[in-house]
Amino acid sequence: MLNQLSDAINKYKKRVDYLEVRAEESEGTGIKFRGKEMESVSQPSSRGGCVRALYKGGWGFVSFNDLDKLADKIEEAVSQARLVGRGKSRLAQVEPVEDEIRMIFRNDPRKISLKEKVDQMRDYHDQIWAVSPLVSDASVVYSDSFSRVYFASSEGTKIVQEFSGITAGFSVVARKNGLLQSNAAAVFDKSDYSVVRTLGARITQRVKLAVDLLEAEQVKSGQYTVVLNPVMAGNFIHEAFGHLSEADSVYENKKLRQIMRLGRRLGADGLNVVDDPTLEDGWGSYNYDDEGVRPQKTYLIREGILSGRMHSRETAGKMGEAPTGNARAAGFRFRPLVRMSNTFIEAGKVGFDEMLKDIKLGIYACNFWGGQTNQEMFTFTPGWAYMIRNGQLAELVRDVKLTGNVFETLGNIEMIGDDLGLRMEPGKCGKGGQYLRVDAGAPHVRIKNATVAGK
Amino acid sequence: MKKDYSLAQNLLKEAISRSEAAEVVFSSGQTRGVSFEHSKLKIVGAKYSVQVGLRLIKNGRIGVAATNNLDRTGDLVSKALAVSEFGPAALFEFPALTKYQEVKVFDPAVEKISEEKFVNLGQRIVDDFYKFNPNALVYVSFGWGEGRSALLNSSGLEVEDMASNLDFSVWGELVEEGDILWVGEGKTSCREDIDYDFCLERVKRKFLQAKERVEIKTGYYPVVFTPRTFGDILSYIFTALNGKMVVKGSSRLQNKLNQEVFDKRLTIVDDGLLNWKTGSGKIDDEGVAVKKLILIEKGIVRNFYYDLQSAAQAGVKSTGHGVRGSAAALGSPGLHNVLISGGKQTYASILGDINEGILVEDFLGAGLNNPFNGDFSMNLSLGYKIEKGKVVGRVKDTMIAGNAFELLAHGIRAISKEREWVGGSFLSPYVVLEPVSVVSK
Repeated sequence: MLNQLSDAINKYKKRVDYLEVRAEESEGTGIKFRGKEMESVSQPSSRGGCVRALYKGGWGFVSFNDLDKLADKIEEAVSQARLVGRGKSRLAQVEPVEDEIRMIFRNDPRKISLKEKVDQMRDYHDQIWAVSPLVSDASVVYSDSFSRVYFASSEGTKIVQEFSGITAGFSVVARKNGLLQSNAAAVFDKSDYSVVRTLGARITQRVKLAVDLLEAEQVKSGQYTVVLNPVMAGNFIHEAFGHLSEADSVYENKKLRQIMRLGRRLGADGLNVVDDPTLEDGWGSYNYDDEGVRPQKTYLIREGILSGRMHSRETAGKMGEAPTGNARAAGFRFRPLVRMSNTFIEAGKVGFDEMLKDIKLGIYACNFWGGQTNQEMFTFTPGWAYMIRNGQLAELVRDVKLTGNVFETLGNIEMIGDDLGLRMEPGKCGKGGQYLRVDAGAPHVRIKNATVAGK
Repeated sequence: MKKDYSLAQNLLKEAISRSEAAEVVFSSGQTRGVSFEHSKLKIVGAKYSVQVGLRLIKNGRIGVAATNNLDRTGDLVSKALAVSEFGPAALFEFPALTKYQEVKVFDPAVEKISEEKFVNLGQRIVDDFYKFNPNALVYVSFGWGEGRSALLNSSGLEVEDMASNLDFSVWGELVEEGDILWVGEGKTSCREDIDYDFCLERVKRKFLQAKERVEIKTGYYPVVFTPRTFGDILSYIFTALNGKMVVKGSSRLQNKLNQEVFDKRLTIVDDGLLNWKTGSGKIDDEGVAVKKLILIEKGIVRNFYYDLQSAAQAGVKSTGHGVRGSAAALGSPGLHNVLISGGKQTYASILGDINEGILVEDFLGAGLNNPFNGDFSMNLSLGYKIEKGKVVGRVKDTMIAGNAFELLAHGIRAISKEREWVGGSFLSPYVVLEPVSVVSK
């Protein structure tokens, strides 16, 4: 396959500055229970490819299913690029590589029968409904996938990589007197089906939370000192800050480039933020990005100072910075964009109790239900939250929303915990319509003057 | 297509011989795109896709299988049979051929539009915007193409369909220290009837309106929702009217059929038979004829919308709202084109009547609220303050909150005569709701 791709590239490479082809085969399993019964079970398989061509700074991109028509598609991408190109192509230099990355499984989901997977999910589903009569809706979702991606470029890079992922999760809705409250949990692993068996341990706790939230008071809007748990803090750093450090939003935006200038102070000395695609066993890790670049660990913030950002070859080339291997695509339908991998706040020194100790009135926001950002502004909903009163965790409160400006909020981080946890549920991130695997994490983090919207 | 059609027929034949009932969906499509990013032509692209999907019923259970690899359709029946063993119980039968009304959704001229045309048009928009505000960046994207599909089932249905699609959006971005303004406008249609300049002028107008920064005190105010943001408020009602939510017990409206739940001025109709609208089609994704459906009539809940499976669970007939995101999915109920009735006053007079309030152009976090009970609180990513009937400037760091069901029952202050299409499948007036909680920093 690889030779077929590179042979096809060789015929056209003189007409453009750069040319690459990706081809992908994948298969997987999906199971979903919803309401009181099985909703769907499927074993999809897929095959397809894409071509990306660069000419005088302009890109052409064609995706397709029928790999037999590769030559036609390359021809089309080449003429698209030639239509667009009006300037100069500037890709950061990388050494061509030839490599093969095979998936090594600890517990291969393809060797587990469909029956066992379905039974396991049905069992979880039954467990959820058994927790409380107030459960009014629930869904349990399982998926596994295995894919092989071939990459070849006009610079001579030839890579085959295998990927696998196993996820299981549930969400629950509890209802009483017209009030509904939800909760959710998910587990995932790259190579070990056994992770699915750990989901059950969270069911009782999360369903009870949804039920207890029905009795909780709505939080009062206002400014609070807020403690984020590791999941919520990880999501905050990913969503609110991480996306601004993806160089494709910055590199051709003079003003944003000024705002995101390296060396700018964003937080206190102890604040360190990292994106690390090389993390061993990391959910968001990979060996090569979708431009065939070997990735590296990047400090985005070091001791409170903006110190780096994530790049594709083009953004690195145009900004005169070193490539970081963060160009990723969610499959052959998409061109690579600059994306995060495993993004986290490094551990500090403060214990959880010490963090709460002097808070008279505050909020402890746990896990992550959803969020949206508009570059500088963010709105996040935790999975659940408690009031903090006189240094102690107090009652559960519902419908908490955290909102604010990311730069102000980073500056308001006043304590960083000693308990780093890396787990972003459900382990996916969307950008430009592309959903792909990422992880995020943090220790407990304390933020002063955070805006909470509720009642 | 002919060759593919016989592939679908053969697949159906094999499936019928090995199961009780079956359905085959074949779809193929191609779209092209031109994108300007950061005020520069960035990329021209094309996507070609093909998919064949099989849904069958074996021992009373549903099995599905799909692939986009046409060389590997040979094992689709076996795959569908294998998963049917664990599949949900089929409560429905595949629909036989019924009469359906033709609707225009295919214009062959769309596919023939050249990349050069949109490269040039996009460049003109970028240049125009630069003259308007040299400090702003502009993002323009065009996507256009067509899709063909064939739906065949064991009840004798054989329908072929074609649809074209054109999508346009323009966004402006102005970045200043501590202040990022994002303003966009877009339209979608089945043919090239998009007024590109209208969208561009709209973005400029919003830019101008956002120039001044003003403050608003926390409190309760009348809030003007544009057709787009009124859609965000209505999303709770659409969820509650979804037949699947009703049969699952997650709908706030499940026992409210034929009861007056909302303000008498609220009428909501779903009409999938409007020419050139992107939600239109003669049949739904399961082969059921599409009909106009009244959802809310003068405040009274008239109908829920169902697909085959949820309708069977509810003991009613499918309303022709079966939507399957992909051939591998079982599907669920979805709306076609939603139309909200207009009111009596002009938009200008509605604005003129507001002494102090807010106009909401865009939300941040609209999808984050509990989708079931209607409680919302959303950040205004773009909102203006109204004083003495006039838009006086942009408000920032402001959230609004309320309950959609309660506001639509008791809080409708005014509905505009004018209505506008949002995207290609939602038609709505401007609506003023009151009192809405406004929380400002």
